[in-house]
Amino acid sequence: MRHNNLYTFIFITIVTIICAGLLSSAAYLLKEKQQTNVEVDMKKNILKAVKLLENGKMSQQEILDSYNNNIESYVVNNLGIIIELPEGISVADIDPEKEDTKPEKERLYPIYVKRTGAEISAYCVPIIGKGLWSTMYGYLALEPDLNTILGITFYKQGETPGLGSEVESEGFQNKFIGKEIWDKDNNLVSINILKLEPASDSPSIKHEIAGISGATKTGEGVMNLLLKDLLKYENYFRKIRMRNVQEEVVTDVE
Amino acid sequence: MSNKKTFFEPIIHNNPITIQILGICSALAVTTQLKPSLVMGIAVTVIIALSNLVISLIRSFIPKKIRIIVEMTIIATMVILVDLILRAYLFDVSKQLSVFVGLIITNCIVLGRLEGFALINKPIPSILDGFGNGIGYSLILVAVGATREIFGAGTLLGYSVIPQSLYNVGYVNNGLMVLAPGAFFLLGLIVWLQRSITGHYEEE
Repeated sequence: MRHNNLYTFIFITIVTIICAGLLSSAAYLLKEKQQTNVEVDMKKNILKAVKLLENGKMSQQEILDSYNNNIESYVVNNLGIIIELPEGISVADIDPEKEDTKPEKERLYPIYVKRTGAEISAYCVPIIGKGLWSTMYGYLALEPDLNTILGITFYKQGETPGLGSEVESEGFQNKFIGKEIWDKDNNLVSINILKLEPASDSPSIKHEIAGISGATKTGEGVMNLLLKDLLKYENYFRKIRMRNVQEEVVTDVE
Repeated sequence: MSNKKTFFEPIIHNNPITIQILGICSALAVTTQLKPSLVMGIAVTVIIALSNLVISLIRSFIPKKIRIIVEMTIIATMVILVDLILRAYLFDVSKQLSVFVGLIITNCIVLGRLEGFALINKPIPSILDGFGNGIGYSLILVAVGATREIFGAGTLLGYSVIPQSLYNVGYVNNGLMVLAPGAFFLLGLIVWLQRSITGHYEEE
């Protein structure tokens, strides 16, 4: 059957309109559910980083409840001063990637803290950066000394499946636990990712972990993004660490 | 051709990967582990079957000159739809699939079945053909994915399968298996094995 140009034109228009209509209504109808998923996923990953997600199997409601009960959030600037957010804007609305495009003085850095009673029992910060192919997103949680790593998660990445994508695996993430980000001279050194397991007598073993074989570039990415994002909080962390030290001295005197 | 034959032919005797050598790119890319291979197989199967059905239903209305454009529009719509549904109801799976979705749109098998089958056949055989080809594709993916995960990482679906005692006596994971050439070798072996069993020869 031969078709003239007008028929062809009308046919493709109808096909396009049907497809577009189908997709936009599906996108519209499913949007709320998807946004909830993304929000729950973010909260779940914060909980996971601060070790509140022990069994890994929690319903959406349990995740939201646990988050509301245990986690507080606020923002600091590059000088380490806590900034009040204008009304109507919550910490969750701060997009760390967008902040990076602003002038340094105006940037806001979100911090999530886990409270156990009145005490702060963990600090958690978002970590974002380029790997080999993709941008990786995750959270890093620190003990109250702001030195020892409590946990790390990566929840979104597009690295090579089976190689770089192993940053999402528990085996890799567990290697970070207990490592330290400050050296003994109080410099923020972050974590080095090596090709092999660090030698057991290495002087800097506290700051070293083994990377993923076959994913050296992804490992370099993780290393760079950790240092980059920790430096953002350096001033704030220094302040708190200083206060901690002073409090210790005071208690000793007593 | 009977419906039964339409369904089973592409699974064994006319397998899209080993006989038609289609969809090789994704077979190499996603098969480092079993889980993404499985998910990819299921997604591709659903998409081929649905696109085949739609194209078969409108086959007599499609102007010949723009049939490829129409086919691509349908495929892209299906892929995005599947992705949207996954993101809403199977969020974890969709996170794993995200990078592979683009690969489904460009998967030669999908377009190949629309061109080669759905355009000239009735809806029911077209669905069967879609499922047959999807399953044929999935079988190879699962075989390659399982082999690569077992020998490359010593695990299957994330669980350790190689006993620690074997590592203690000096066994090491095969690094070649986690890289793309490992998949090439495996695919080559599977193609060889299958063709020597079925006696398939390329036409001169």
